[in-house]
Amino acid sequence: MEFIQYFSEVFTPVNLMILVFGTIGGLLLGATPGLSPTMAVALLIPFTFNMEPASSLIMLGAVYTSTVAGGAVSGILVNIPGAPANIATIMDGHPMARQGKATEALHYCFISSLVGGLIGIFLLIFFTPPLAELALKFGPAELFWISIFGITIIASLGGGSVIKGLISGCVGLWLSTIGYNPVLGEERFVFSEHLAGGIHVIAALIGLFAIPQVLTLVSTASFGKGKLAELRSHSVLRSFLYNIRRVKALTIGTIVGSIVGIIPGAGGQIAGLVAYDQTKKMSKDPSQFGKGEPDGVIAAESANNAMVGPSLVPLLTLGIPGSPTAAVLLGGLLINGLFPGPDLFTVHAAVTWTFIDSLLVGQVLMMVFGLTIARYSVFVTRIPNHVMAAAVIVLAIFGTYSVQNSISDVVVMMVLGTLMYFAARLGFSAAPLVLGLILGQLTETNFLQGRLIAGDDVWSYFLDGGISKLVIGLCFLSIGYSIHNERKQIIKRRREVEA
Amino acid sequence: MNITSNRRFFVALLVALIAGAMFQASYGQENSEVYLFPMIVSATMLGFSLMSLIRETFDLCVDDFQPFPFARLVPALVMMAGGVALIETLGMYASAFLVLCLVSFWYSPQENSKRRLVQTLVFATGFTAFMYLLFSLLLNVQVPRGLLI
Repeated sequence: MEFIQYFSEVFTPVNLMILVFGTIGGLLLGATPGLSPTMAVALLIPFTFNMEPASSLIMLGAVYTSTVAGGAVSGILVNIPGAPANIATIMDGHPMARQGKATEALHYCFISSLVGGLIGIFLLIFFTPPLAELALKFGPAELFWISIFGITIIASLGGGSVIKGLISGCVGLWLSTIGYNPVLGEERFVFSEHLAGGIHVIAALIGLFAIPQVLTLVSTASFGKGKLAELRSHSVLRSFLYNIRRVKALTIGTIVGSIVGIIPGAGGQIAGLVAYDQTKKMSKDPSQFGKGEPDGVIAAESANNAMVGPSLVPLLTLGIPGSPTAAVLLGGLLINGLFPGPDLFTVHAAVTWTFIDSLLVGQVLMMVFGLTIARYSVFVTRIPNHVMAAAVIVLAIFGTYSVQNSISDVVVMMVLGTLMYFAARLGFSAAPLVLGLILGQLTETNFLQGRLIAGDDVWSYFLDGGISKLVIGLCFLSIGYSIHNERKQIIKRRREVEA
Repeated sequence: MNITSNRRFFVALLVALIAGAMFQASYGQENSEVYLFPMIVSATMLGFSLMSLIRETFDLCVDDFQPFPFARLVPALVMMAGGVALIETLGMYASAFLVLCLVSFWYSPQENSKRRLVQTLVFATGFTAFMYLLFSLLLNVQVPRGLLI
């Protein structure tokens, strides 16, 4: 219970002020398309140079936790996820907003984020040594199968058709190979100068979600259709009680987020999507997912925040970042002269525990400020379609450009987004494509690394081992369930047509 | 086959052709080690697209298409493409202002009037200023500067 004695450090006026500004700033940065948590933390590192070590880590930790939740705001309101971690949130969050339940969706988002976030940090506090041991068991073979498992959920993210979901996912995986081979470093498929550095995930993410949204808005602008329904008010207390009763979605989200957080190299996007998929599969009525089912928002948001605490376990104990943002946070630690390992919890215990305590307080502040933002969501829902379309285009261009200061990213974003609009009209979904794009690099890197390590015995390297076998089993279950579910839908639809 | 089935079949055929092109691009390379992963992915995609084609042939699908409202989309697509093309010539903020004006004016449901024009200009100026504040002042993003700003 060492962590309790350092709580007073968090509540010193300076640290509390930093925590409040970090949380509000993180929520706003998270809501800006293109600014991922990784970028937000990286942008703030220079501001921490002159701070005390504890204060600087409090700032970076607050920004880390709140950008993950803040990304859901733009996702729910305008269908542009603020960060890859929020892809799963918008699948039901934006349909809820379109039905006039934007406030409710934002309430669920921030309340679930608090629940997931707190549990994740408690795992960090109480189970750091065993979790660090578990993290060490994930080599290239296990990570390869984990990413294959992520790919298998593509099938059910496609909406109606499993096969279209799988084809979209394959396109995403193939697009991820454009640029350089991650292990051999040779250039591939650079058909145009704009593709020289490959397709950046954030550029693709903004394009695939924002541009189809813009085109849908302009295609319905003058007819007055496509607007969000009139906003229904929803009290925080009602949302809170409803949210707490959604035990299954919260549990799945928190467990999935915690597990994915520990796995080095994975990230919030995988946590959110896997949790969303599992909640959908275990739901009594999976057909409601994608149409504004609150459980979709709850599972996704609890997962991507539950990931935050455990992703710090391998970082603080072994120096292995559990997520891309944790990698940037490692830079923050090193700048302050803090080196991951046992020293962090002995020699620098005051700084480390103050930082971890600030994450707990930061989660509460994030919910409080997030719920305040939710109250003002009414202004966004009242914006006319033509104004919203114009604003989203410009925001998408600036957000994409800011990732790498590259016009090529903007061109790629526009082209991908326009093609996605037409593909979506033909029944293909953006989510599997994005997931393929995200998982492509992870899968290929681990596949090639595994082959190098295995030498001549590739099969036994990839197929032996308890974790690998478990994940392979999960892959088969995931695909089998998706096919079974689609068959059920086809039979149901046929019966409806015959009736 | 009815019209919808025909359309679905042609989409499946198009997807199969795209998958075939990806397969060809991945396999027709000299250094197969570098292209190993894209080879696996494109072969898998080709397999799925052929399965999809078979399903469409035997009409085993449930999903529907939505029509393309081309007439309403073309102006927006031209404005977006034009805006991006002009970034390096006019500068980021000037092209953003132009896109904001054009899109919000063209798609406004109001009748053509001075009031509509003023509203468009006020919105475009305000939003461009907000972008400047957020990206240039707060986040210190170095945006392209052109003839105007």
